[in-house]
Amino acid sequence: MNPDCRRHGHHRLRRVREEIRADMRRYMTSSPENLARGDGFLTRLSTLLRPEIVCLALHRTAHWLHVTGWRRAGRAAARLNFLLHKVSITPESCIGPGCRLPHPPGVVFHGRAGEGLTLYSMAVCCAREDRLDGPPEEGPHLGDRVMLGGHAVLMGPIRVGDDARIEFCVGVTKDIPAGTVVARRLRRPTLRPRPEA
Amino acid sequence: MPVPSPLSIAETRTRLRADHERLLAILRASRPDDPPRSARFHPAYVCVALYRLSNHLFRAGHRRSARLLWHLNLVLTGADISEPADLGPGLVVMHPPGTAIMGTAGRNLTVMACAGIGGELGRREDVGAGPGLAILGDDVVLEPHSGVLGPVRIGHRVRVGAGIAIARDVPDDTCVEWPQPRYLPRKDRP
Repeated sequence: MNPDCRRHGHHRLRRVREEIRADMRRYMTSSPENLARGDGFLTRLSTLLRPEIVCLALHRTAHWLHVTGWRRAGRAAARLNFLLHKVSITPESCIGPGCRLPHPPGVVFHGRAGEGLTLYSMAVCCAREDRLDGPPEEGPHLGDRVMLGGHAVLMGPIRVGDDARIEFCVGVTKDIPAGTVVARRLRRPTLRPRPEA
Repeated sequence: MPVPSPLSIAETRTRLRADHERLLAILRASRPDDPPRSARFHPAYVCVALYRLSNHLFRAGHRRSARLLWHLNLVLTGADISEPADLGPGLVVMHPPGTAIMGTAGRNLTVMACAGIGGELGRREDVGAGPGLAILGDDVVLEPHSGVLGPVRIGHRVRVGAGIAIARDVPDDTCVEWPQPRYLPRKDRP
């Protein structure tokens, strides 16, 4: 068990339930509209059945099974998650509580992350191309409250500090200090009349 | 795209074996303490196997069956690998969802998450892979979210960096990369 798993208590089933609750809480407080719905039974039920929460719950179960020694069962749960949501989160990956995954299809995660992680659509966080489904140390190590924008890529055993924010469509293969925004070096797009119009 | 010559069952099996051996070597290198005996049920292999079968049927003239397998691949693994695509042995699609491939490639192509090969609107020249499609050499690596678009030639041992779309020819032994991104202090940090 890696130190992050021990810190988060991922070998305890009670802790898995608490983390799923933290994911739900983060979703329910993520926007004024969600806050306005209140905290009733129906709101909680509808939150629990959202693909985002089902996907995270399946991953947390897969990770718990992996950490407690039921590796094949953990892999089966991860495959079910893949089949249902088209999301590749390996059971070895350790993700802290309060995660947000607004659009699961296409998201890839292999590594370790602290609490309050946000992965937008098709964000990729994986090991190098000659590694697949290995130990999480081969993937990125993310701090707390890291945000990965849509189509952003973190690759290899890099460290990302707390509160880092990786913007849309940025590829990073080296360490990112805490509290940094990483943006693409782009020229402004040019606007010209469409020739066939 | 012109229909390529039919592949024999033996050739399709040889390609499948090469795909499996390459994926298994990667998995074994990643997990030396718990090496897998087989990768036949790994999504990365299921996606390639379904493509190989659909490609075999397509080249033998069974277009409807080939399309059915393409659909099955899309539903099961989320990978869109068109049945006419001609991809050499040793193909590895690491994370199938979001992958879209249409074109020709040599041996040992590595396709990472959400990468793709395909046509570009408005360009219909034929460089050997069909109108508007790309042709890739051996040992090409496509990193996550990269793409090869239009009728271009990509050389051998080329590595296309994350998030890059290529729409022109690339010579052998080349690494295509973005300039380093900007690192700015976060002003809204709590």
